[in-house]
Amino acid sequence: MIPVMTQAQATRGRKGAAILRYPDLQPATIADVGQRKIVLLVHGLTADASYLYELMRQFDGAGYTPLAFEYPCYDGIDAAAKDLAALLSGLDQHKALSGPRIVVVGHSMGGLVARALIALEGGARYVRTVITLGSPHSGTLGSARIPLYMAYWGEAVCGLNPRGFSFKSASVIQLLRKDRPTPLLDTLMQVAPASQRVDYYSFSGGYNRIDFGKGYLKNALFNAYLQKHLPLPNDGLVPEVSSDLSQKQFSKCAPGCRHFRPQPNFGTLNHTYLIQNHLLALTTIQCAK
Amino acid sequence: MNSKSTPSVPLGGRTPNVSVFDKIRDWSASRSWSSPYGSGETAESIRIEVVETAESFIVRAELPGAEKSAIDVIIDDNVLTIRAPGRQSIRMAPGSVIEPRVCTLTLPEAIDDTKSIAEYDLGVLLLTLSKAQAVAARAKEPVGRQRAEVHGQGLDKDEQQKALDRLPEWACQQRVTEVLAVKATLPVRGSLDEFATFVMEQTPDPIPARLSDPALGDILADAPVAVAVFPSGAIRTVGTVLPGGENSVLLAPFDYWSLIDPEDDQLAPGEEVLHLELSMLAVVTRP
Repeated sequence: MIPVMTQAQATRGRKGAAILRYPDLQPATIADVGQRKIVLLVHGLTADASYLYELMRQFDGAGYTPLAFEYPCYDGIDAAAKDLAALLSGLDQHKALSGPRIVVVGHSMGGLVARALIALEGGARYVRTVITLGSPHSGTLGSARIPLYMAYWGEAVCGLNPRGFSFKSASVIQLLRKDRPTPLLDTLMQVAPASQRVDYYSFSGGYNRIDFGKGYLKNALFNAYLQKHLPLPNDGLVPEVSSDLSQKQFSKCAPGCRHFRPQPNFGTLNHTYLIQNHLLALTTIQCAK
Repeated sequence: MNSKSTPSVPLGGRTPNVSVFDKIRDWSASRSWSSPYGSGETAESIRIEVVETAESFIVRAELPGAEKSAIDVIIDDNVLTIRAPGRQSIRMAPGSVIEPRVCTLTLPEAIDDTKSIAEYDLGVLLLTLSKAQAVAARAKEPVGRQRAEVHGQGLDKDEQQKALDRLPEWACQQRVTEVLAVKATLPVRGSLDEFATFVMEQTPDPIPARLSDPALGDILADAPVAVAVFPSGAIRTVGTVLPGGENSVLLAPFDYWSLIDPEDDQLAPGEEVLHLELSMLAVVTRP
């Protein structure tokens, strides 16, 4: 974890999205996507790729080429998917990615970017497996402030990054399902993947306390407040009723999805620990096979 | 509040409110019961004593022998009139007219008669007259009657630089206002849940901040945000930026919770007020 946003991440909005390689988090080259199986990690709102590093290391050890998609997270879930598709196309000049070879792991809003890649951008050409960790598939469940809390979370984990906070930002409007004429999340639900080969897995954490720093008070107040509004189980920020992609309403867009409930293994994981837990990392690697 | 003809304060006839009397006893230890606002001179004088509190005047009037239903209390702006039937005196000639007991007091502040209370028991009328300004101020208070305050003040050049030195380089370069020293006080009341609802839902008043360079003009198109540097060193986005006056903008915190240092507890056990101190400035996100 880095204490403050780096200069490179601050200018991400101007430089545009990038697919970063492991371990130096520099833009990937065609040479980087050569032989091994590929896992592509996608971060959430207001965050950047830095907090995905440990999970990249796990996949590296399991024989994968780990990549991370870093994008201006406020421009819209669909815009992120479009950027991702264009970058994958650029890296696929030798058809190294087609096949399809990529396992996409999306954390939080990153899981929605992964689904948008499949539904809107023909991502099934590259992607064989989508794994979502604590992703709000059903949106934000009525509280208009939850995108704000997701943005708070992103800063707590990755450092100052003010650009996801605006209620006018496309991503926030989409998370609130206030985009017209058809909310993007509804569109994603209705579009069947072009290929039936894509496997879906979703994970939900069950520890409903989340930290924004080491101070007791700020965390206690947030958790006391939000737990009055969120159904159980939840990971402190996203409830399982939103992050469970195996539910009936998703059967068209994510057929055959296997869901990992908080119990028995992930009841102690909150929104942050989902990305840091060893057993969950090993389980996602098993799903990827 | 023109109510000269009818009693404006309902006389409830309840037994005296114990807590009010307890308070009066406390005050009476340090303040005399004499009235600085004059006393009524009538055919039979009414003994009046007045105590002023932050939000009200408490008036104690002795009206022995009066029927509760026959007492009139009239409030007109800041003028209080108490009227009760007179009593037969042993010194009065038989058949003489018994004049009513009347007392008029001019108080230094207007009274809101709709928020005032009258009680009468054992020959003593006790009025709790709410100051109109205090009632109006309280109406503006957030839910839970918690009174929280936020103030900002420009830092001198050296202090500004200390805060800027802690910011990442990009944020420093994109700064568009002076750095404010912001102090907030939050009364800690009720349960954790109630206090949490207050800090998460209530929005502090926006804080004016001067543009660091008047030539910046209209920066609102560049998506400015309010950024905080906390005493612990933590740096966070804490609010939006609204149009201000000439050469200034308003830093508008998302909520009180945003102003709490994420890396510091800040609340000592048993403390009833949370004192928050932080530096705030606006940075643009689309330079």
